[in-house]
Amino acid sequence: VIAALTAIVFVTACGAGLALRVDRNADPARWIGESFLIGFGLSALVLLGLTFARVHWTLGWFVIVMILAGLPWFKRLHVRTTPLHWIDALTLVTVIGYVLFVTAAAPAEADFVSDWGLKAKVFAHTQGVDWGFLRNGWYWFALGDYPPLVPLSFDTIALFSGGWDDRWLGMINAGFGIAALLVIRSLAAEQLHSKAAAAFEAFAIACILLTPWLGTGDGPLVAYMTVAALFIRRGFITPGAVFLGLGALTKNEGISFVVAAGMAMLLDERLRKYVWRLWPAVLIPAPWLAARAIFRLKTYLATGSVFDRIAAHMHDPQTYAMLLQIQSVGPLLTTGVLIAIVLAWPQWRTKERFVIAAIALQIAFYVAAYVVTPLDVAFHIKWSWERLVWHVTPLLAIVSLEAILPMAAIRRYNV
Amino acid sequence: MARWKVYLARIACVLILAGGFKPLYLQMFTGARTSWAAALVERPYQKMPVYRAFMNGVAERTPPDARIAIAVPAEDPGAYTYGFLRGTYLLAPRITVPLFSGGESPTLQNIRYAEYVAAWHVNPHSFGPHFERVWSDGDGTLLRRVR
Repeated sequence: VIAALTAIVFVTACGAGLALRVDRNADPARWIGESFLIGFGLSALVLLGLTFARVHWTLGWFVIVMILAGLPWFKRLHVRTTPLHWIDALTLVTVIGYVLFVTAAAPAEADFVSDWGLKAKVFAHTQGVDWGFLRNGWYWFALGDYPPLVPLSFDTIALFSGGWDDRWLGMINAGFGIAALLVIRSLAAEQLHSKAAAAFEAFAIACILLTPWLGTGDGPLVAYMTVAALFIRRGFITPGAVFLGLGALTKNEGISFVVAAGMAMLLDERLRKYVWRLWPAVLIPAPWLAARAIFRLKTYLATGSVFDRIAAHMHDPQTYAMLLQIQSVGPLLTTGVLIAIVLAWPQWRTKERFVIAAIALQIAFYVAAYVVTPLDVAFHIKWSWERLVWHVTPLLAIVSLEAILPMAAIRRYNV
Repeated sequence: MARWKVYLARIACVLILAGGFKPLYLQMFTGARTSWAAALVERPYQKMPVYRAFMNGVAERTPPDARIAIAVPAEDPGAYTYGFLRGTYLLAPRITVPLFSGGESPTLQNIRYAEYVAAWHVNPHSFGPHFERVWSDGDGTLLRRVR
């Protein structure tokens, strides 16, 4: 656990300078959260870069390159206080409970064993990204084309541990969840102009944001996607683009979210003219996408004839009813969000066009993936739909709360 | 603002809070964490009890660059994949060799690539005279190529 904590502190410190450059308005809590999110993106790119340079990963090389990559960006932090509320204590208790949850044992998700953890373990032993392993058809379940940020985050901890040990890798889940929560709490305080409302929002979404799928890419992706969309929604395009790019380095769904966010900005008159400023979202995953093309890593959605697969799936269209039957979001949360949409519809229609469009497009991409999937449709939906819907659930919950919290806080009303 | 809208907004806030809440995280402050941890350790292997212990035994007795075929009962490709991918994780960085092509029946064609066979609940004699027994734990047998 000491090695994992040391890795997290070191990587966060190396991301701190870039976080200051990306978001000049951050308070200390938000700065720490952003430093973690950027730091682990930086560490993934450094490990990828060392592989490209044919340098075997060692702790010494990693530390040197991380310091060289992170240090020049430092500048003075404009210290602002983060006003707290007693509700924040409840959030803290929830977060501590989550940390106990993720550190109870090594990650046990099937996807960790078959994909995220497997790749990280192989890379840790070969001291670099093993292209032969990723290309090997015997290990199709490892999804060799998938972006590498999460496995490389595990490898960062392995470097500090002196070898592969999966016991404390849940700390990565905890780190991403807490980092995103710090950013969201800070943005909510600015948006709502009320520390009580911001604290309530953070408490309400804590359990939604702190995902239970340990050792997979979903938790980190939820963190990056949610934070990115919230920044863009506020008009902070640069940090939004950076976190979009880091999401694209985390999962293929993160790549589709870059497209969804870009298209959503085009649909929003307020944001349309800033679309070009999303260039970091394209630049950050570019090294991986280039390597993927050079080493011909197969994307399973692109194997064989797409049209044949669509035709085959259309023989049994009722399978797609599973999308409605699988209850990924509970009835209470769904009802709460629906009430928020109805109550504040004028606000949603005018101010939240970007969020609505980004979520709708992302869900449309997911459904399209089920239409072209080479896997058995029922199997694919059963094992992924719940997690995919959860990618956008925190964002929807946050925007819903921010639409109705000002109403809920009104003390004088017309009878 | 109409009173009903204010109350409805408050109800919606409470619904979102309650709907997202996960009591499991708070249960971690109690003794439930110990049983949760024990369940987690075996969860990826719940369809193949003690498989993890066998594969860890195989890993202890083979070099890190070994090529190991994984033989597990395979009624269908899904059942074989369940054992193969879990064995691959436990044995990494050793190269694991699949013995199921995805066709209707298991194939031994790939056995030529293997230096070892990790046979779990599979008759070890089915691999012929080319392999000798190295170790067995009652549920599985590790075989090594002799010629």
